[in-house]
Amino acid sequence: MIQYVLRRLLTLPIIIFLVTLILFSLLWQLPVEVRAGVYVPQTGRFLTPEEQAGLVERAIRIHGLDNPWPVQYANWLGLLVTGSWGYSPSWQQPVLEGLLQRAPATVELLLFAMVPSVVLALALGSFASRHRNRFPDHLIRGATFIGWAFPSFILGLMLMNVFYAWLGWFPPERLSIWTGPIVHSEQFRSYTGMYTVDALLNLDLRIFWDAVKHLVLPAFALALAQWALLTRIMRSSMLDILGEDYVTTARSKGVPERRVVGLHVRRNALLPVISTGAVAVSMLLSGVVVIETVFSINGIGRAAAEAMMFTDVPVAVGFAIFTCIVVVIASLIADLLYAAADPRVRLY
Amino acid sequence: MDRSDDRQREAVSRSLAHLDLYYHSLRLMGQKLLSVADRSTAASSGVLYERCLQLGKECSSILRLLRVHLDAEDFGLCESTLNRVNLGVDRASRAREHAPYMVNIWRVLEAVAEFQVGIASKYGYETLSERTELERGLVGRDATVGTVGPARAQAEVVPAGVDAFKPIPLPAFRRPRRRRIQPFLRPGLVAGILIVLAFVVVSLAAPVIAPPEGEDAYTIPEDGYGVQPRPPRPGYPLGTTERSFDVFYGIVWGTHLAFRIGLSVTVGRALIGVIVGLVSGYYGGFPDALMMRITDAFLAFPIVPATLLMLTFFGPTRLGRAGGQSGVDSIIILSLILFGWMQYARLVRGNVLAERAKQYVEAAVSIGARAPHVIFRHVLPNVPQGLFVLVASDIGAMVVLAAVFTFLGLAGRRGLADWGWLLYVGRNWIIGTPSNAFQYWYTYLPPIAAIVLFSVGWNLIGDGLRDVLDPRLR
Repeated sequence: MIQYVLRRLLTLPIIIFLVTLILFSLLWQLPVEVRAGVYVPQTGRFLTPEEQAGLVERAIRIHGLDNPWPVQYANWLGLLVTGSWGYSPSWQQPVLEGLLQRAPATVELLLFAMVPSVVLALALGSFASRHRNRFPDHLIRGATFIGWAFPSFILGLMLMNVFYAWLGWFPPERLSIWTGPIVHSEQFRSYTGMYTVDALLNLDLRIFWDAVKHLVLPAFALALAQWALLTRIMRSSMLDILGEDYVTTARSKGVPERRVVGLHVRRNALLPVISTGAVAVSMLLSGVVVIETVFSINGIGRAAAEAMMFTDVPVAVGFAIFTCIVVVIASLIADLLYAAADPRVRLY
Repeated sequence: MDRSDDRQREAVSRSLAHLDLYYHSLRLMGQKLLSVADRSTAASSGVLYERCLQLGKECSSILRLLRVHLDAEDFGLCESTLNRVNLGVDRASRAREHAPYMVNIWRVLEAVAEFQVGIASKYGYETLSERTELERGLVGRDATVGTVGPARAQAEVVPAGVDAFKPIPLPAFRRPRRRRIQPFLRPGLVAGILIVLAFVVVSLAAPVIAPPEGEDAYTIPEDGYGVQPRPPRPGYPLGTTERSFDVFYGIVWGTHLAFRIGLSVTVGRALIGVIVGLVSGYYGGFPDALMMRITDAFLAFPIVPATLLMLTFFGPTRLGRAGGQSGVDSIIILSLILFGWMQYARLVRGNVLAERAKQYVEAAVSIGARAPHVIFRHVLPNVPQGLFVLVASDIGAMVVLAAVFTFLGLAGRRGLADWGWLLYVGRNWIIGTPSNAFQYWYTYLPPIAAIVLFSVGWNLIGDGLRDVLDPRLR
């Protein structure tokens, strides 16, 4: 097991190296003035073109942007590692700071989308597989088809139209207006930046309920496609395992069906679901951009999409790196979970 | 249930056809043996004996296979027939003289014929003898077993044998033509194909039903400067949206653009995926390890952030094309290809690894075939099955993804004939007015319907194809 973990950890630097190389080779395509612009802080006052050009030239000189690319790549890596991800002109703040400041909203949304959808996918997938080709199975398969084929941003728009514009049940944004004075007051301490968690820690159930109400629609719209994917995988892998010889053996020696499914089938059926985990996370990170925009949630995704309107290069790079890191970590976790769930992996 | 019944019926009738064929060959051999024995040329009869035994064994193995597909009631019949056939073959193989040998061969024939009579009509299979008898004008089943038997006089047998040397029509495998098309006649798949066909028609008819006014067909003509959307009226079948952009024109040319995006992205992805997968799967070793690590690295990029990055780097504003030609869709296409080929590569690699382990590839390599020859002539033709499924379901997904970016307002210019852009504009009017919540339906409903239908259509095709090609997931 330890050997496996070590081996898996060793591939990590290679992946990171390749990821940064891909990013840098894209970055390399930009003209040097644009790349230098990353290092020119915004002063807030209007600059004449000469002043601007002077600043850019200075940045080129200081940061060695006229060096050959391996040197520049190394420099750039160094900057990434030390956390200087550049200054964003459209956010008017350093990129990393801006990302971290907006992260809690996104993380909260991701958690609310991910946890219920994974649980439901596992439960319904295995339920469907045990009622194969009967009514519940058809129902669940129909639902997964709709969930997979229906574009999430359109789903979001329609949910908004029905539940906000028409019924007025679930409003957009993160909190209602009346909560503003409470959340920003001295008494309400911010621990994580996630309003649901903070409200619970502050023992304020009204705020918690309000935050949850604001999260229901975006989390649903975000999670549906991922739920559909995982449910399908769970169902088909359950069917695969249910046809295995060892399941027949267990049944024929009189093991109760509940125990057969619980002990022999479900655990093994989890493996393909686990290995899809990283893909699902990647899907969610893509979905978050558009869902946050539709529901006006001020998270990373929406802020990044808005920065694109101003062709904000530092934010584009920062956002890409940020999401890459999350996906790489997620796939590492998925692989380790896989090893924990499947003893065969540990053999080699 | 129906389908498995069908499959069983098909398996049984195919086995029966085989059995029938062996039965008739055996009968011919027997007749030939009789005539040979008449002339006492022992030399050739040895070969015929052997062949007879072989045919008897074939019958027995067919029966053994058939057993699996039969219902419980027919199982017993099959089992006893099998025993009789085995017994007959066994005794015939130990017979030293002509007569006992022939008797046992006839016993085998008798058993098989009885079995066929018992089972063929049940599974709707016409035995060959039945048909030839019918053709000859002899009706009735007695003829099947009885024409040649040890009890009959040889004089009666030999002419029948001569007659039987005429070419016998091969047993028809039932419904070969229906089998090729029938699996594809699933309601979902057909519905998907119809939906997509409708889009194809719209896209092909685009220059006729919505003639472009400017140089660039993907720019919606702007009629006047009215800020308010106006409902459908003559000349504008779907009304005009904010700033008097013609919704109908946008939908029609959006279909055109959708096909352009969907097809070029999936073709590009498949191309890269096939190349990487082939090289990686075929050569193995270091190239494989390198390629797979690169694939992993690309997999780390979620598609939307990566495309946002590409749009920022090379998008229309950056390249100074803000008001000009349709540069934005090519950037989106490029980015969706660049950050999306990995699944194809993995699929192809897996297929290649499976193919490569097969003997015919080994055989080709062993006679000195070069790698490209083996790859292109032997391995590549066996790869595309799963690829079709992936391509079909990807086309819809890619159009939706591209619509996401234009919907986010990243089209880079106004009036792009794209469903996402129409929705970007129509979104402002989705709330309606207090008196009528759906007053501006024509600004957002048509693009929503188009995107959803397009996605659903291609997904239906993808799912349907997967059900046909990979029944395991059913």
